[in-house]
Amino acid sequence: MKFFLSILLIVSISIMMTSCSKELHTKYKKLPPKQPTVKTSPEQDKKDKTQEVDEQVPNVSSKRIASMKLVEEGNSYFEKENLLQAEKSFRNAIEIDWTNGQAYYYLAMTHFKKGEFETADGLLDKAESLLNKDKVWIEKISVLKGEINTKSVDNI
Amino acid sequence: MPRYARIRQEEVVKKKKQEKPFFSTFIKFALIAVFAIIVATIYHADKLGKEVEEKFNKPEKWNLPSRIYSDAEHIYPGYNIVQKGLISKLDRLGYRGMQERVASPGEYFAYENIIEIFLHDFDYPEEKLKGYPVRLDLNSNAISKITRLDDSSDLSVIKLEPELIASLFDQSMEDRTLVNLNDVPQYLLEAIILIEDERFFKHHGVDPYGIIRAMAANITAGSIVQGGSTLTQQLVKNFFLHPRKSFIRKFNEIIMAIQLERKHSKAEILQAYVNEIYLGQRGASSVSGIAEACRLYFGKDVKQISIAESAQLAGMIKSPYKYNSFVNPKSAKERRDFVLKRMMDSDLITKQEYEKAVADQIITPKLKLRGNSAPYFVDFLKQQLNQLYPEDVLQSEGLRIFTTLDMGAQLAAERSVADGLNELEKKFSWKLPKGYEGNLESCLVAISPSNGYIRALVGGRDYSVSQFNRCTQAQRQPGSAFKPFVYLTAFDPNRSNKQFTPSSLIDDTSFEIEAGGKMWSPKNYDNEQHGTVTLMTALENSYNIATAKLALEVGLEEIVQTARDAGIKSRLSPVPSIALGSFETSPLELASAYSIFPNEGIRAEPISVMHVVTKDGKILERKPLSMKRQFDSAPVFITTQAMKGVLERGTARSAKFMGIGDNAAGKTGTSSDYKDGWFVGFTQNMVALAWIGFDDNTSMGMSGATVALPLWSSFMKETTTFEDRFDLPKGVVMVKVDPVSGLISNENCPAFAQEAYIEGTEPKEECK
Repeated sequence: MKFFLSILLIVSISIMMTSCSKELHTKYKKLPPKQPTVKTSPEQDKKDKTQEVDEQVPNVSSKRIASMKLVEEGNSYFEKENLLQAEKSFRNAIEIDWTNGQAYYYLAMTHFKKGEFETADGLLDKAESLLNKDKVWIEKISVLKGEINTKSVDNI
Repeated sequence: MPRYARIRQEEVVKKKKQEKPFFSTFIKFALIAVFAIIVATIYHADKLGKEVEEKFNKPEKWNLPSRIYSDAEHIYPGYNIVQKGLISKLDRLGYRGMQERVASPGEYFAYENIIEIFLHDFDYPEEKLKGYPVRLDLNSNAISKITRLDDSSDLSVIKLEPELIASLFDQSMEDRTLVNLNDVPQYLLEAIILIEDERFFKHHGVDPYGIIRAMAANITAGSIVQGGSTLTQQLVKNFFLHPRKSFIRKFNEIIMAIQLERKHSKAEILQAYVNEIYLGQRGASSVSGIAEACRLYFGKDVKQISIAESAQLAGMIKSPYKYNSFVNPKSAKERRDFVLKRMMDSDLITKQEYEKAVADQIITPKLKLRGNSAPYFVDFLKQQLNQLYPEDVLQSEGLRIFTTLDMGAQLAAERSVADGLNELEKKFSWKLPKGYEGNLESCLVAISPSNGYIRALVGGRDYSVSQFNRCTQAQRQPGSAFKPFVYLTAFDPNRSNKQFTPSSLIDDTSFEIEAGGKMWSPKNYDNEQHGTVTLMTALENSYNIATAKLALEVGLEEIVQTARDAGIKSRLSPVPSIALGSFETSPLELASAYSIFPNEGIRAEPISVMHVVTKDGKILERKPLSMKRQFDSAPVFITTQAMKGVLERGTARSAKFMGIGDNAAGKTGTSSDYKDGWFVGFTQNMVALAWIGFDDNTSMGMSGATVALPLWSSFMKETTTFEDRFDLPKGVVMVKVDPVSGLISNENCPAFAQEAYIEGTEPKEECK
C-alpha cells in the first residue's frame, strides 16, 4: 500500500512539473522579439554602455508586457467577433506602449474587418514604421495593405 | 283658554316663527357652504390627482445631467506612482485613504512600499467592470508587481476608472444618479423608513398618529424637534411642490400624498423618494438621491455601502448641512450612532452589528472643491457635442461622454499657466507695456502624437474672468514657430524644388523682393546679418532672412502643401512672408500639425471625444483613431534633429536649465512686434504648445523663448520622461558635423552637432 502511494505521489509530482514548464514555455513564447538598439555614433554607444539602469524609471519592457497583455485580450475578443471590445483593447495597448507596432497592426485588422479601410490603412502605416526591421511583420502588413487596396477598389 | 293667554301664545309662536327663519337660513347656508367646500375640495383633489399622475407616470421623471469623463488610467509594473501622481488621482476619484487594509470598494491603503486599492465598479462603454482588491508592490517609486488580493493572481495591467470632469445640468442644477430599489441595500431602506416614517407601510399618505406624536414631542421640547410628515408627503413636497412653508402648500401636499398612495404602490413611492431626496451640495449643484450622495460622502456605489454608512445617510435626511460629515463630522457621528441605536432597538441589526458599526470611523473622500474641472476643454467638447445633440438633450438625458483628457496632464497644464504667468508678470513687469490695463493671456495644449488624443487644454488664465478659448477660438500668427515646415519641405527631395541638407549653406544677408505689389525685405530679430550659414544654424537661431531665402528656393506652393499635409487648414497664401509664419491659425491646429514630427511623418487627427453612451449603456458615438502617412520618415527625422539643436544650442537652449532632458525637440516663435510668444515642443510621446500674448494684440516686448518656453518646460517636466529617443529611420545616417561650415567635425573644428542626413547626401569633406 505504501509502495503504491509512493508511486502515485511521484507520478503526480512529475505531471505537475511538466505542466508548469509548458506554461512557462508558453508564457515566454508570447513575449515579442527584442528590438535591436540603433547605434548612431561611438559617443552614443559609450553613453549607452555607461548609462546606469535607473530602477526608478519606468521599464520599457514592463510597458511592453502590459501592452501585449491587452493585445492578447484584444485578439481573444477578435476571435469571438467582438470587434468593439477588440478595438478598445488594442487602443488601450497603444496608450500604454505607443511603440507597440503589433497593437497598431491588430487595430488595423479590426478596422479592416469593420470595413473602415482608410482608417485601417493609416494604422498600418504606423505599424510599418514601428516594425520596419522585422521582415515577418512587414510581410504581414504588406499582405493586409494589399487586401485593403483590393477591397477599396471593389467598393468604388 | 283665556283670551290673554291665547294672545300670549300666539305672540310666542309668532316670535318663534320670526326667530326660526334666521337660524334655518344660517343652517341652510352653512350646509350649502360645506357642500360647496366639499365639491371644491373634490374637484381640487381630482385636479391635483391628475397632476400627480401626469408627472409621476412619466418614464423619465427627472432630468439627468450628462457626465463628461477623462480617459481611464492603466497601471502596470514599471509605472512611476510619483511621476503619475497616483495617490492624488485616487483622492480625486473619491477613494478613501484608510489606516488599515482595504475591505470594501473605494478604499486605498498606502504603507511603506505597498499600496492596496479596492477598485470601484465602473460601467465602461460596452463593459461593466466589477471592482476587486489589488496590491501594488513598490520598488522606490515604481510598481514592481501587481497582485489581485481575492485570488492571489499576478496581473500585468489594471485599469483605474476615468475621472468625472464635469456634469451638464439643466437650470435645476440637481446632481443625481438614478438607482433601482433592488440595488439598494435592505438596511439602508429600513434605516430611512425607521427614522423618517416608521409607519410608512401602515398609513395611506398622511399619518394622523405621526402628526399627534410630533406635536406632543415638539410641545414637550418647546421647539420643533420632530416632523409629522410622511415619506410620501416629503416626496410630494420636493417632487411636485416647493419647500416654501405655507398653509396652501401644506393642504395641497396632504391631498397629493393621499392621491399618490391611492394610485401607486409603496415600492414605487419609496423608489421615487430615494432618488429625489436632497442630501447636500456639491458646489453650485445640489446632490439629490441616495446614489449620488453615496458617491459624495463615501466615494462608493450605493450597492456597496455598509450598515454604518446607511445609518449616516438616513440620519442626514433631516438636515443635510447639520449632519454633513465634511463640515460637521462630530454631529454626523452622533446622529449616525443615534440611528444605529434605533436600528438595534427595532431589531433591524444585531448587537454585534451595532457595536461594529458604532466603532467604524467616519472617513470621507477628499472633497472635490471645484465645480467643473478643465472648463475650457469642457466648452470645446460642448461645441462639438452641440453639433450632434441639442442643449436640452445634453442637460436631461444622462449621457456619458468619455474623452481623451488626461487629468494629471490637465492639472499640470493649469498649474503651469497660472504659475508661469504670475512669474512672468513679476519678473518682467518693467518690460510689459506701461499703463496697460489688460493681463497677459495664455494657451497650453498637449496632444499624444501616436493616437491624436488631446491630453490637456487650458484656453486662458482664468475661466471665471474670460471664457474665450485661446487654444481653439483664437487666430494668431505663429511667426517663427512655422519655420520647421519650411525646413521640412527643404529636406524632402520629393517636395522641394532643390535638394537641401542640414549642412547646406544659405546666405543670411539682407534682400528685397516684390510681393503683392509691394517690396518686402525681412529683418532678423537682432537686426544683424550673419553672412553664410548652414541651414541647421539658421533654424536653431531662427534667422528670418536665411529662412525667407530658403523658402523662395524651396518653392512657396510646396511649403503651403507641406502645411496642408501636416493639418493646417487655416488660410495660407504662397507669399514669401509665409516662411515667417505671417498667417493666422489656432494654437490647437498648430500643435496638431507638429505631431507629425514625433510620429515619423504620420498624421493622427486630433480627437477629444472617444465615446458617447446613453444612460442605459447604448453607444451613440464612437470615434475611431484616424491616421495617415503624409511625409516620408527621413526628412521628418532630419527636421526633428535640427529642432533638437534649437534646444541644445539655439534660441531655446535655456530649456536645459529648466530641467528639460535630451530627447526633446521644438521651436520658439515670436510674431512681428512681439505680439505672440510661442514654444511648440515634443518628445516621442507628447507634443505641447504654449502661447502667450495679449488678447488685443498689444506688443509684449518679449520673445517666445522668454515667455512661452518656461510654461512649456514646466508642463513637460511634470508630465513626461525624456528617456525615449526619436527612432532613426531606414536610409538615414547620423554624422558629427561642424555647425559653422557643415563639414565633418575633426580636430580642426572640435565643436560638433549630431545631424541627420538621407544616406548618400551626408557631407564627405572634413573641416580644414
